[in-house]
Amino acid sequence: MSLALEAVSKRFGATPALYDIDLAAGEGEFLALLGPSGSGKTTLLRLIAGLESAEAGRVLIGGADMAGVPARARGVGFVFQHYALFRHMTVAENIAFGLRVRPRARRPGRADIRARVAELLSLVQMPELAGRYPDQLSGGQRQRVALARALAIEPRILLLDEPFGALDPEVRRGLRRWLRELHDRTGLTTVMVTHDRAEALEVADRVAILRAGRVEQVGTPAGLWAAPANAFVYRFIGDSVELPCTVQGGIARFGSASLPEAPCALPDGGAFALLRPHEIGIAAGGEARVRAVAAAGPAVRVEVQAGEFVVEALLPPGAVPPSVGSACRLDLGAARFFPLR
Amino acid sequence: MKGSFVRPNPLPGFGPAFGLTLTWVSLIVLIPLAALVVRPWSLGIAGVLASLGSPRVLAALELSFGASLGAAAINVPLGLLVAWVLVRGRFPGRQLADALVDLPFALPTAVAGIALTTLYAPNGWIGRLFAPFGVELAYAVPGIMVALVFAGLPYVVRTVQPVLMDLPADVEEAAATLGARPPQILVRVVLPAILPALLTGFAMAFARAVGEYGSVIFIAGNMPGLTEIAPLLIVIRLEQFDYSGAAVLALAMLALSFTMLAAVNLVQQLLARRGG
Repeated sequence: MSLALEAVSKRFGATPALYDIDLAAGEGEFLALLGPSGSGKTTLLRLIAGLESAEAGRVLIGGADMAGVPARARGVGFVFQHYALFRHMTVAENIAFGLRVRPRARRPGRADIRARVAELLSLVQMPELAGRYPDQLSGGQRQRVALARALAIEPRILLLDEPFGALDPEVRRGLRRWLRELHDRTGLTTVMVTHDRAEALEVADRVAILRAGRVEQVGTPAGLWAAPANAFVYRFIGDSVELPCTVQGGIARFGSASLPEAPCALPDGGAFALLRPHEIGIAAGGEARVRAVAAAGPAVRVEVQAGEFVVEALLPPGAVPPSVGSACRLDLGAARFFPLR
Repeated sequence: MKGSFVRPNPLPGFGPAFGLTLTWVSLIVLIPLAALVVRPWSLGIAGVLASLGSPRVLAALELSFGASLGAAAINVPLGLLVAWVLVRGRFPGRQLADALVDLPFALPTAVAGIALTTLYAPNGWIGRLFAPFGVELAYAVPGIMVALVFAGLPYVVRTVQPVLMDLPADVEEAAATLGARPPQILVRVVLPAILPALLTGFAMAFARAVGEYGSVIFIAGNMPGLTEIAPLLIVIRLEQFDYSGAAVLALAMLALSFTMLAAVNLVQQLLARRGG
């Protein structure tokens, strides 16, 4: 089911947490909310679930305004960062919880509940663990139980709060792929909060980047990568090299003879250039000097001393690495310029 | 592990510490209790049984354990409520209220007994409200219960409070998003999580109530066979130089208390095995 937020604002006491958020997720879409901690992304997710209330604005699920609808009646599946499993219940009892607490008229029979639990256990690939207690499971298994429990109520939308935040990197990667497959199979509209850019860019259809309670940009992972709206987005979605410069008459100068000038469309004044390390070209001969070379891994990492700056560049695979101490010059043609302040 | 029952442990000095603990526990607990167990048999088995079977002794034991169980049972919901309000509530004077809970720990029991008697006597502030209906609070079983509830309340509050504080809020929120209504969250999620602590609180309030003496004798009226508690009867026996008779009663109390506490412990272990 579709989800829309219209001009949502939220404050905690005197501190504003979210400003005027407009955001939408279409039917079956996988939307990621990406931002540093304190950006308001978890608050936004809790607003959608009805665990917090907004000061202003509307939350619409399937086109219906959720104002005054308590969390229990919203039909959202919520997966908490620390799983929030019921420790005194077995895995099967945890998953069945949402069905057992339904009013009698809508509660499935015992056999139906058992069948549904078995179905969900096989969906999350742990049918043999039905009788275990949460304390007897690994982190990844707990996360999958939490997901199965949320799916048991046949939610209209699925909300995931840092679902892999507490797991090992290796487990994370596996679960990430598995989550995407699960999403494709169930077709459930999903919103995932994360501070891990790789996670957001790899899994989601669209990513909303939040900073300090505002949405900075919303786009597909490829779109964000190709056209970041501002320096924050540029820095947040990938590694970057930052070089301060001065713009005068359409030319950016870096204040160091060892860095080349570059054309720049910004008005005169202070600015800075942002580059991805792999976009920086290195050629032999020039005023810069190769400081260090790390050739382990798929790409060669070269550290160049250019005047007062240390620039890190990634050479394309197969390129011959320069020797340490040799003179070189940098090609900054791919730089994007942003005005200071 | 043959020849040693101490597993390798990085902490030094386990041997002396173990010895000191054993000596201390022996001096303070085991030897006095052993004396208690040995003493009554000077009467002979028939004498012990006769002493236990007397109506006055049976009535005192029944009153002591019945009232203590009742008081502990009342203290569980009451203490839970107090702990809940202290943990979840944000109201002015919360810290003062929190400190007041400990007062029954600190107050001399006689002071508590006199204060409660003054309140609950037929001409006291509270007793006066009930007197017109012919309900006697002080100098009757209800008065004894009041004193025992007073003495046991802090035990339940103080055992449940930290567990409630540690109860993660997200578990309750998870239950809410799964469609549970507030009463269902309380019964299915919160209560099971704090059940072990409630049981401990129950056991401690019960144990305290069984041993309570000072406050009860002021409010009970102490009529033999009716409102005379077992600890008082022990004191009466002692004053009559009937040491063996006192020891018989003490041994009976010890056995009953031990059985009850062991039962509570067993239930807790079963709960713990369940993964709680």
